[in-house]
Amino acid sequence: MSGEPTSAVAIATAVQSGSTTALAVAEGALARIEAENPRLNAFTDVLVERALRTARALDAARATGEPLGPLAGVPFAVKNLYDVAGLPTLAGSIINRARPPASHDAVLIRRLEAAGAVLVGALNMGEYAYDFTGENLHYGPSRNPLDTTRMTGGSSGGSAAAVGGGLVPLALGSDTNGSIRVPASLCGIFGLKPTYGRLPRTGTFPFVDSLDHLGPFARTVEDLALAFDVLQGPDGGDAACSARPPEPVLPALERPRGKWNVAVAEGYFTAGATPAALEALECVAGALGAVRRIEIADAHVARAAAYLLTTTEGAALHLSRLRDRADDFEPIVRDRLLSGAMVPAQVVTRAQKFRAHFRDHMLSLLDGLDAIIALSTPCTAPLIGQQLLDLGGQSVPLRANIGLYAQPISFVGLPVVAVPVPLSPLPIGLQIITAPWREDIGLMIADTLERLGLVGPKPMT
Amino acid sequence: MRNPEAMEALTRALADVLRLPVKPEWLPSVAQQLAITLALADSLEAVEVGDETSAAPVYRL
Repeated sequence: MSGEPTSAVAIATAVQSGSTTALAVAEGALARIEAENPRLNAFTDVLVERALRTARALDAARATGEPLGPLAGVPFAVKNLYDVAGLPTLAGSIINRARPPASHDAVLIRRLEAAGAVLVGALNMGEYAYDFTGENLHYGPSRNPLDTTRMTGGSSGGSAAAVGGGLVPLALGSDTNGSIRVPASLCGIFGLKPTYGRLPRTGTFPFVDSLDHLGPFARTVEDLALAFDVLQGPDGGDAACSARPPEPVLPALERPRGKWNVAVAEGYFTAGATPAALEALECVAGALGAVRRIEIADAHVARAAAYLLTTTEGAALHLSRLRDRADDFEPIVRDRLLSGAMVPAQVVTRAQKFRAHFRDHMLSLLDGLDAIIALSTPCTAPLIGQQLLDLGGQSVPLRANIGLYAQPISFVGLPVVAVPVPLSPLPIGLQIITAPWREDIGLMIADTLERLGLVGPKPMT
Repeated sequence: MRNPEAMEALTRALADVLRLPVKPEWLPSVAQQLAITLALADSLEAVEVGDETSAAPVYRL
């Protein structure tokens, strides 16, 4: 693929100018998927005919002088909890295979395609998104492109593998407790978990309605911002989606900027982290001149409350499937959901009330700051199948703990840009956490770091 | 940590009254998950949240 444009921006520019065709780009992506997917297990469905048809239509439109959108010819793929017309929406399960094929694409797919992007497939994920590893007993684990013996992280594991492995420049995922930020960290790519309510979830299979976010993965900040700009806007199909009009970020990346006022989250957010992870955090903090250190009080309680809402709302969602098809769940997912169906209601209400309390606390911390930076994960990618995690000398269950730095932040819906620090041999991600609706600041800080050469994917070999 | 035997008994009883299909071989794992969940719930009780604080079932900033 040497000489071919690889970023979304470069592909769109080349297709718009006619220096390449959308068909050639789509064929290139499909060839990469055919070659690499057996190694990465990122895709559960590859949409060859649809992708070629869409690409031909774009080339035909250009031939007649029709203006092409900002993502003209850019191949992308989606976590398989997004509705794709003609496919059952699996959400990582075998149970959902019995659902009728989706009649329409999810709203976010429609928005990307309206901007000229080309859907090439649906991506592997942890069952029903109740996962931080990227492993899946039904479809096999998605594999980390940097070392295929290692986890991608999850639950958007296929999305991170597809982008990290260079199969597509853009992918969509979802993040309830860290399912964009954890795989972005372990696979060494950028991810965006926007403000809760920013992007409509219409046409996606839910997990925890009060915590579910959708967002993109990319290999550059510019691509991430471009995708985010196209994805924004209200939609009546999602009751939680804000009525805010799109607030484009891409133009802000070109603006000159002064010194950032950034604080570093310590205490809970550094406890148990590996020395290399802490070194990455310090390196970025130093580059941003972040001398202020903060401890976020009650972060452990926020994580507990997020866990409680997840297990109980998840159980409510899946109750009929638990009663009728319990044998067809992955055992760990089934047992968590069954236990979630037994939790007293007062616990759930307390968790919800604590959310209001913790939100106010986070907003007061962010008052006067541009951002808070924190690690996304305590360590680099573990081995596939690894059950335990060494957290500061203590051996703890990996599945429950690798997302511990991500959960308190999504619990209160704050926007986070996940940036990869290219450590050797494996990368680690940081969260750039900003005030509600200020994804622009997070992306500008990420852009600053990218221009300094401190964050970005490791070069593909 | 709660008593594992008590948790298994509680889990068995709840499964029965709530019509949840917990097979005997799943019981220890489900009971353990429930014990973890209830232990996490304990941490919420340590934080004072005012009576007037509204719950946020659909959360917006």
